[in-house]
Amino acid sequence: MIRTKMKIRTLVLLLFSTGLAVRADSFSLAYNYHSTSNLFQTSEALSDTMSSFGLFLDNDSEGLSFLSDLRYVLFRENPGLSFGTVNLGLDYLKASGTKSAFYFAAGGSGSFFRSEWSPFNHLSFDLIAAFKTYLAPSSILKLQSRSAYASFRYALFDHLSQSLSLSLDKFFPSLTTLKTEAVWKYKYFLHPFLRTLPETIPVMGGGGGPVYRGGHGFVPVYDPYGGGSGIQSASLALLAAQGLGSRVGLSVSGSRQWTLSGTNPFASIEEFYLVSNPSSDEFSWNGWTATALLTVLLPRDIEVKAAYTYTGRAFPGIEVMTAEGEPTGVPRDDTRRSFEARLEKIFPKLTVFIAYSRSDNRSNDPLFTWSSPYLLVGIEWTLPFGRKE
Amino acid sequence: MRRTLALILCGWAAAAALAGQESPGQAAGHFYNVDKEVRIEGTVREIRFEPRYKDRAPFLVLVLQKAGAEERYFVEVGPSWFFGQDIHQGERLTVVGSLAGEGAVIARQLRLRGETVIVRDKKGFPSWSGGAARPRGKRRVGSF
Repeated sequence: MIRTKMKIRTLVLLLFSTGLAVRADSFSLAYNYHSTSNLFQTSEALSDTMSSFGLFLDNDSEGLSFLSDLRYVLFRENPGLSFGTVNLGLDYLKASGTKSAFYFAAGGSGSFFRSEWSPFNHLSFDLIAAFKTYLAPSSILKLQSRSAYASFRYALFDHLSQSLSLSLDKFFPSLTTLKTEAVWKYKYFLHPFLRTLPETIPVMGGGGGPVYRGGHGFVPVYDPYGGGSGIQSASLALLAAQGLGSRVGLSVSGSRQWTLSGTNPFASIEEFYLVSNPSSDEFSWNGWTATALLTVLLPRDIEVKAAYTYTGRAFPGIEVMTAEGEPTGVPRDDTRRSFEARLEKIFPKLTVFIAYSRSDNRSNDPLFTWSSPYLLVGIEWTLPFGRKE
Repeated sequence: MRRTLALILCGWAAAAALAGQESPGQAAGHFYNVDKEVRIEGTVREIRFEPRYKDRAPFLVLVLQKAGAEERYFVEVGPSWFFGQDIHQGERLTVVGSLAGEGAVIARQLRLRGETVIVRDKKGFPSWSGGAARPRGKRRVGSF
C-alpha cells in the first residue's frame, strides 16, 4: 500500500517535471566532486569521494517562474548511499507599489536512495509566502512563512513543519549594514513512537548486515500510546557587515536559538556529509553560533571567500550513549569550529570553483568527537534556449 | 530506485528535446546590444520596482550616480533580484551592461560588497531565469 502511494506520487512528480521541461527558458548542467575523510562524521572515520551531477531547467513568464532540477550523487566507497533527487516548483512575484512585493512559492521534491538506505527515501512538499518592503531607501523589512510536509519510506521520519521569520536591516553611509532576524519554528513528527515491536526494523548502511555505520542508529522509541511528537524553537540573529569599497566585504554574525517546547523523538542525532539525515536539522538543537566572513573580489572576476564559524549546540532529549549504545542519562553537548575557503571564477556561461573546509567537533559523547577536512571542486554550465530577446 | 530515476530521466530528456519554444520577447527597440557595453562605477541613489517588459515580472531598477560626476543611469537588473538580494540607497557598486536609450543600462554584471553577480551573459541573455549565479526559483527569498 505504502509502495503504491509512493509510486503514484512519483508519477505525479514525473508528469509535472515533464510539463515544466517543455516550457524551459534555460538549461544548466553542474558537476561537483567532493572528498572527505569522515563521511558519517563520527570518531570512526570513513573516507569517501563523491561525484554529483545536476540538471536544471527554468522558465519565467508574467511573474510566474517554474523550476525543476535533477541530481544524482554517486558515492565511490559507500555506493549504498548513492541517491537521486528531483525538485519541482513554481513561484510568483507580485508587486505592491514601487517599493514592496509579495512572493509565493510551491514545490515538491523526491529523494531516492539505493536499497541499503531506502528507508531515507522520501517525498516532500513545501509552501512559501514572503513580503519585502523598503521602509526607507536604506532600510528593508522582510516577512516570510514556510510550511512543509515530508513523507518517508520509513514512516518514523514523517513530519510537518512551519516557520515564520521577520528581518530588518539598515544601511549606513559608512558602508556599514546592520541586520537582525527573529525566527519561530515548529516541527511535528507524525508518528515517531511505536506501540508495538514491528516484525522488522529497517537496518541502514550495513550492506544487508547488522552493522550500522552512521553512529548509534535509528532505534525506534516505544510508547504504549504511540502518536506524534513536536519540537518548537525560536531564534534571534544579528549581523554587522562592512564594505571596503566595492571589492572587499567583511561581516560578523551571531545567532542564539532556544527550544521552547518538546524534545527530539530519536535516541540519537547524526549528521552525514552531503546526505540529508532526517534526525538532524535546524529544529533539532539549541545553542548559539558565530561566523566571521571575508569576501574579496580579485581582478578578472575571481572571487575569494574565507569564513570561520564557532557553534555550541545542545540536543534536547538526546543522551550521551555508551559504546554499546546504552543511554547514560547525560544530555549531549557539542561544540564545533569550522574554517572554509573558497575560490570562484565566473565566466560568461561557466562558473568554476574550488573550496576547502575543515571542521573540528567536540562532544561529550565520544562517538561524536571528530575532525575532518573536505574538498569540493565544481563546475556549472548554463545554456539559454527557447528564448528570443 | 534505478527504474524510478531512469523513468524521470527519460521524461526529462524527451521534454528537453521538445523545449525549443520561443518565449515572449521584450519591447522593440530596447534590447541588449553587446556593441554598446559600458562599465559604470557609482553609488545607488534610488531603488525602484517597476514593470519593464511585457509578460514579465516587475524589474528591480537602480538609479546609479556615476562616481565623481553628476550623471545618473537607470540600471535594469531583473525580477528575482528584488527578493534575492538586498540593495540599499547609498551602496557603491560597479555595473557592466549595455546602454539602451538615454540613461538606461541593461545590467549584465554587478559587483558589490566584494562579490560579482552575473545578471546576463555576454550575448545579453538574461540569467535571472537561468544561470549559475542567479537565485533559482524558490531561492529568490534568500537567507540571513
